[in-house]
Amino acid sequence: MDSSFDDSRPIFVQIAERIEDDILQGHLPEESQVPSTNQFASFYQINPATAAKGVNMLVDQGILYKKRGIGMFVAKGAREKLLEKRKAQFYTQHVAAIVREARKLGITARQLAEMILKGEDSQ
Amino acid sequence: MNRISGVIRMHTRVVVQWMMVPWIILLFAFGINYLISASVADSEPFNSGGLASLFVWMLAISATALTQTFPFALGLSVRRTDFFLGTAAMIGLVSVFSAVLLFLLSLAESEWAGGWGTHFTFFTFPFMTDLSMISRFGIFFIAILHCCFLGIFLASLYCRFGRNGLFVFFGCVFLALSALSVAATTFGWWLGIFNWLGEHLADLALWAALLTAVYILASYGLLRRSTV
Amino acid sequence: MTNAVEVRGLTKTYGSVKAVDDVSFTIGERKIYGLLGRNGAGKTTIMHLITAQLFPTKGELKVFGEAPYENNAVLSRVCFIKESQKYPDTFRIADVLELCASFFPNWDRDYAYSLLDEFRLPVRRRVKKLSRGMLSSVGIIVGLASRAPLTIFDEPYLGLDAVARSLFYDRLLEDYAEHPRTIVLSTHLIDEVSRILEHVLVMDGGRLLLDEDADALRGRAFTAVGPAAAVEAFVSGRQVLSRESLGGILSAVVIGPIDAEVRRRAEELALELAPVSLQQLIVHMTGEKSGRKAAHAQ
Repeated sequence: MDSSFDDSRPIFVQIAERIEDDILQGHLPEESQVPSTNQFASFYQINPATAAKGVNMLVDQGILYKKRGIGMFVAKGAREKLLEKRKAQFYTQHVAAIVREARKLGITARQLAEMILKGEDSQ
Repeated sequence: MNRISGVIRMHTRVVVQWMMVPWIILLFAFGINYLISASVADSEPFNSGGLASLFVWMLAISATALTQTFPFALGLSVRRTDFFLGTAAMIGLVSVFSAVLLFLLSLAESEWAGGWGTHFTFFTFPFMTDLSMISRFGIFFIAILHCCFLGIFLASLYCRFGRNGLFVFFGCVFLALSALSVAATTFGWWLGIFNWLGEHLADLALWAALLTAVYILASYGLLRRSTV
Repeated sequence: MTNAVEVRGLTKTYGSVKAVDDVSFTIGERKIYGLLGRNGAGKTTIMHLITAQLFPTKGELKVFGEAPYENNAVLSRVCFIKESQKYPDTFRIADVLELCASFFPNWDRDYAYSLLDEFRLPVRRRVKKLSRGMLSSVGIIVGLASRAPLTIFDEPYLGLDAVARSLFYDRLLEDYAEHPRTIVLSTHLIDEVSRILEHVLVMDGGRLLLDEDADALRGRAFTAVGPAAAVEAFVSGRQVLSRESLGGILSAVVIGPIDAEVRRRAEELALELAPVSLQQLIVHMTGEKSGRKAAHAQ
């Protein structure tokens, strides 16, 4: 499998993000087992140590935990934790850029709000 | 020990060439000699020296075997020492085997079959009938060993110094021999040299043994500093 | 834990040419290293020095804590797959594989033959008659099945198509996971291999330019493109690796991560930002004036 990674950020961070995405989207429910680092390494064709770094980062953040002799599992409450984290990041990562771009194009705040509502309806 | 035997196995893959080609060539040389002597009736017994072809080929094959397998062996993380020991062991085995064959053929010629029905000899030389069996075998063995290790020495020279090294070496040898030849002609040494050789043919074996030892040591030293 | 390779002040000169110039680094155990750089940078020379196939002019060299020259304790634990490996004329692939058992203590014959199948190699064919790609495959199989604690691959995929290369990465990672060892990959196909690497050694002109964690090099630099004046304004006060201009547009490679501040400033000046891959980073660093740039990039 040859998925592309962003060149500007460490791979282990991107691995962690993909796991987080899977948890948020419900592909990895709480208490379910996460693939092993070797499986990640083989799937994405990356170094196992890099995969391990990403997984361990999530363990440190309490998103995953290790059952000795068995493997890594999604912690209880992981999804809530991630939702909060992502919501906090939402403004800086996405909204700020939109606001700036809108200002550049002369779109007012009200027009922007209308666009957002329209987007919500059509999804 | 495993690695040395591994080197020997490396050479045995090539052993068909090592063993068969010189003997096939020898067979042809023998055949030609036989035909010639059969068609030229009633002349003195002679030895055309066709046996020399075997020795020349052993030299060539030993040299090629080394140049072919040395880079390969280094590529398999083999030590130069182990490679040399394995190669030397292989040569020893081949020399013994060939010497036994030659010895038996020579016996067949001089003792058992009473010649090949004509008056040429191929595997024996006049001085041999005076010597013991062991000496006769020894001469064959030393002769083959000498030629093989000369081949090894030249190949090691090539491995260490490349083609230029060989040119320089042969150039020097040629110069030395030319100088000696000129001196011999000027001072009339030739007769004395031939007489001495004729009387001391058997002693040549000892000199050959000494030279072989020199080749062995020199080759080892050259290979130790060779790179691929 | 002994390091697999320790090199200090290593130099190799040919007459007046310094193929390797005062290089020092350490290669640790059980990691995948990349030895990268342009052709002629000295990578192959270094690998030959490590395996005692070439002799250093100066400097210290230790493999598994000992000098490798004529040392079976070291050499039996090293497998060096070179790009230019010569095989005896009459040897077939099967002959090569059978001999490997004598020289590599951890040789796995079954694994080698299963790889033979996967790479679709004709066992009975003479090595001399193989295509460039098949020859590379033989090297890969020997390198992987040797399970040597230090395995070095020098341009292992010359002539291999993309499918075979992907197969190589798969098998390499799989076997590395099951039998951890030190692997050194030397190549100029950097981007493809960069995800497998844990640590990177970059050489240029015989010198060591970079000796770093592969992940740390991601995001080390980025490109800013836009009108020349705006770009110049943007890069003032920053370290610039290279500049390229086309008409009135300037593209500058800048040292530093793309953080929020950089993004903001780029938007102000209406510049486009793009990440720089490891391959591009190395290309920029090993261009002209490489010495100065290398100093900036560290």
